[in-house]
Amino acid sequence: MHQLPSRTTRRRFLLGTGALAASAALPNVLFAHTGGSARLVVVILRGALDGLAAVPPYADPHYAGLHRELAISAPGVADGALALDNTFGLHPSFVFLHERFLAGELVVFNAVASPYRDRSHFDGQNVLENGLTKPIGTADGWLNRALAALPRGTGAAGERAVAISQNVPLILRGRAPVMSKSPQATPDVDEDLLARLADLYSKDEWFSARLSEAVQTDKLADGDGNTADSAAMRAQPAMASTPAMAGPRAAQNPAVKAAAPDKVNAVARMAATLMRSEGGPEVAVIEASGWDTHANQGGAKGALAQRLAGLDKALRGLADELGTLWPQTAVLVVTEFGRTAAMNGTRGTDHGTGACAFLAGGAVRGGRVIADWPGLSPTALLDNRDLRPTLDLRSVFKAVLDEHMHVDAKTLATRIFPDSSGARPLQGLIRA
Amino acid sequence: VRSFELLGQRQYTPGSPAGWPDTSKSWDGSDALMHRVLWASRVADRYEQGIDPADFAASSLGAYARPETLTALRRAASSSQALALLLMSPEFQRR
Repeated sequence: MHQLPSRTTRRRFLLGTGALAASAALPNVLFAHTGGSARLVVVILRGALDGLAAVPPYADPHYAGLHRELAISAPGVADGALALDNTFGLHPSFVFLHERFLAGELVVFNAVASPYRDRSHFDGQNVLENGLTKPIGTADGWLNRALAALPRGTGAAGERAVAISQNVPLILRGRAPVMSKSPQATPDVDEDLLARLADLYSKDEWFSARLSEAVQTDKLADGDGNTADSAAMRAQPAMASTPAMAGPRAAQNPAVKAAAPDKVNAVARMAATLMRSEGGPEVAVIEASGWDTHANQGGAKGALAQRLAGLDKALRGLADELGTLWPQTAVLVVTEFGRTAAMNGTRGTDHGTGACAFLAGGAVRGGRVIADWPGLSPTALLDNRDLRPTLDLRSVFKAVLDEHMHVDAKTLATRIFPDSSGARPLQGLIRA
Repeated sequence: VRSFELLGQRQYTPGSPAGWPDTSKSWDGSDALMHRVLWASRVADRYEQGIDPADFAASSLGAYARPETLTALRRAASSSQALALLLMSPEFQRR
């Protein structure tokens, strides 16, 4: 039926992975020397974080009615938001971020978006990372183009950046040399993937039974110091519509464990350790997934709350580990798009547009919320369903690259972010 | 090489001159399934760059691809996750 230009068959693909498996045994970490003093960490939240839960606009008169049981209450009540100003708060899981806000080291953005206006995760992540206005058109990322515009690092291959990832994410791909380091110290399986597999297997008795068994086993094997909370999280990874994962007990399986919600903490610490090492990288990119909360998202407590707590812990770990480098560090936390203003029929939220973002670090002129709030009234919503974005994320990216990394302004406006004249860089995000 | 070990068959060490057993019994346990999930997610992480999951589903499975698998690929949170789901789909594993 379909004629494909290049056919990747199942067999050819599997043969290729065997060859790769052999090369994967070789160490692939190269150390880069540092040039300037600024440090930048970009955290990409894949799956579209609900900005209306992470940065609740508690004072918006339409918020509670739309977000319903997923809404976070005003500060001052039990499980209420952590106060930022008279309109916005932080999700109660963001204890560390709130401390940074009070210390003047966090800028909170709301109602932001990349130029992407459709609802595909892949395309949305491409636009977030390629710095263009459309998902295709370049094979390199804006952060790599920015690095290419800086003087070479003095390391063996001139690297300045590291990706803590199995492979280099699009944002860092391109001409400038970068290193990548695999975060997998111990084998573990992403719980969001498990939930989606459970869904995929729901009509297949054989696979369904095996997966239930495996997940059950995993919980038993992992039943040491785990709290009831994290067990509940695992039993209902929540993001996909998950059929009951109860099954007969099986033999212990210590070799493979489902990822703990705070796996990102280990990744963040690894990034910081590398950056702090002699001649280590100045720029790091880390990724966290599991934000695609279509079902059972939860509010102040629940699935998303646990993810956010894991992220908060990771950012604290990053700061702790960076230690004396923290005063010269900026940490940018972004996601591909936001989620619907209204709760859906499965107590979650669907793909939306306007989202939140964070810029934290000792180098950041923080303690501020930057949001030209459009409101959540029916006429204010985009397409009658999404938070309307009022700030282009590229305005934030440009400001950070300009003020923090000292990338030439003209290069920023042309090579790094083509077609971005409408997205003027914000001013004064970084301490002088 | 490690990926072979994860799959339960260390290269060149079948433990019997007859080689690895090819009956389903030897690879159908829940433990083996979990190892394949781990393998699939690692492979997907490394390979997502060059591969479009939908194209790959069409060229590898063609008409064998179930609608629910194609839906799961479309809804996946990243292309790497989509690829892992494809590798772990019942039809990919059974073919």
